[in-house]
Amino acid sequence: MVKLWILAGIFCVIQISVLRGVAIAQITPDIVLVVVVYTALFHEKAGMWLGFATGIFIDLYSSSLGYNALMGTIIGYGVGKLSGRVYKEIPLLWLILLFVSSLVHDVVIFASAQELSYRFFGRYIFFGALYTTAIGLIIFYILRKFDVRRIR
Amino acid sequence: MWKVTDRWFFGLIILCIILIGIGSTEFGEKTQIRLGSIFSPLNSWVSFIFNEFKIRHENKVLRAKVSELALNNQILRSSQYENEKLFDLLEFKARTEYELIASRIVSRDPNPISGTCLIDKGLADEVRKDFPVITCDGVYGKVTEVTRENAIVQTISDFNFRVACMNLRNGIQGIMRWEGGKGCILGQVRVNSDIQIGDSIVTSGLGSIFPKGVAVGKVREINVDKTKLFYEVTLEPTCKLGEIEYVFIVKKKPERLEKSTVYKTPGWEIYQKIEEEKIVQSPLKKSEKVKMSSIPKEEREEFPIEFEVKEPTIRLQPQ
Repeated sequence: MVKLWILAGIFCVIQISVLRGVAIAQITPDIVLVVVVYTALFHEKAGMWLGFATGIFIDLYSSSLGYNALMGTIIGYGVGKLSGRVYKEIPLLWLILLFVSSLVHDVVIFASAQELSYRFFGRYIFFGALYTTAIGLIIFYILRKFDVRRIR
Repeated sequence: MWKVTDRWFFGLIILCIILIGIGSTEFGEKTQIRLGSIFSPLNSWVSFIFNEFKIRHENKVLRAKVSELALNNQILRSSQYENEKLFDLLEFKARTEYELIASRIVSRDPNPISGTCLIDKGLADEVRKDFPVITCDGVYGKVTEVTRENAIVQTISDFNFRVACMNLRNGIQGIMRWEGGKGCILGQVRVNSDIQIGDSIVTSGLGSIFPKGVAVGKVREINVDKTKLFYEVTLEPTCKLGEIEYVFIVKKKPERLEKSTVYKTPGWEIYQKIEEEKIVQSPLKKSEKVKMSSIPKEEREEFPIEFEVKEPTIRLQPQ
């Protein structure tokens, strides 16, 4: 669990510093959100706290304070609630959770900063969610591998 | 268990809403900046590490680009140099009275004694054996062998090359030759002749290969040869042999060839026409081709005759 917190901290720093380097058409994946969703799915309640903490950190460098923390908390809580009711080891579930989380997170965050348009939604939010989902699946597989090894 | 978490969740939501509220105030913005600056060194450090890789990659790409650009630059410089050379040649061709064929040196004989080179003009371009080859600066050599597409030029740096020369200042005659280490030598100049260092030496026109007045070199050193009868004048050739890429072949004009001789036999007149078509048009229809070697020497008699530049043909014509 501590390792996940450390990883989330590293991901936060990477997210705000160097992730622009891997931007495709100005869209960057939200790797912090991936760790939050992962933690919430496999460690339930910890996801909410991790979502809040990482959200606060991201908020320090974003234009609007509080929104990332709010969304991190909601997503962490929501996914954590869901995790007790579903079979977690299905990649399709990971994919759906990552995509929906990213979509909801970005809609709220972008809506807080500017007026949303269909074009903006399609150009940044939708493709951003796809990008996060793609990267997130890789991170999920890696984290899951380490987690399973640790449990054994 | 979740009930406690639910309470915490609502508590956190309220906290977030409060933060959103504070964030829109001046105090909130300042606090945000201050707190953000705490972690800034960490971010900078991470950025630096990641950028290091990026910069290394960029450096590699830029190095490759620099090499490519340097190569392009060299090519451009070479083109510029070639352009300047060609411009000089064009200028020379425009102001000279000779009929010239511009040609490029294709290869040079690696043998240091032979001093020959191959040029890219041949019979197809009306180049013939013994045509003089010059550059903008002066005498370069003469054509010794011709094929359809190429010709071999014996340059002035060939040990067997000779050209009759004279001092431009006073007309003192001599024969230029190449003597390896000594360089370009003007021989057969009588001792006590008026020749000075710095005198310009040009072709004298004797020998009927080189036209008169083409620059050969400048007098660099004057010595007396072993026989003590002649000066051995060392010349500084006007054309820089190693640097030359383009040359001109001087096409001999018909009027120059009028002085040439052919032979006639009793009852037969041999003349040399070079252009095949003109022979067909001539009124001498009963003429037939013969080889010069087939006529006995004692029956030959020299006489001047006109002929034109093209493939040589010997004809025998009844008088």
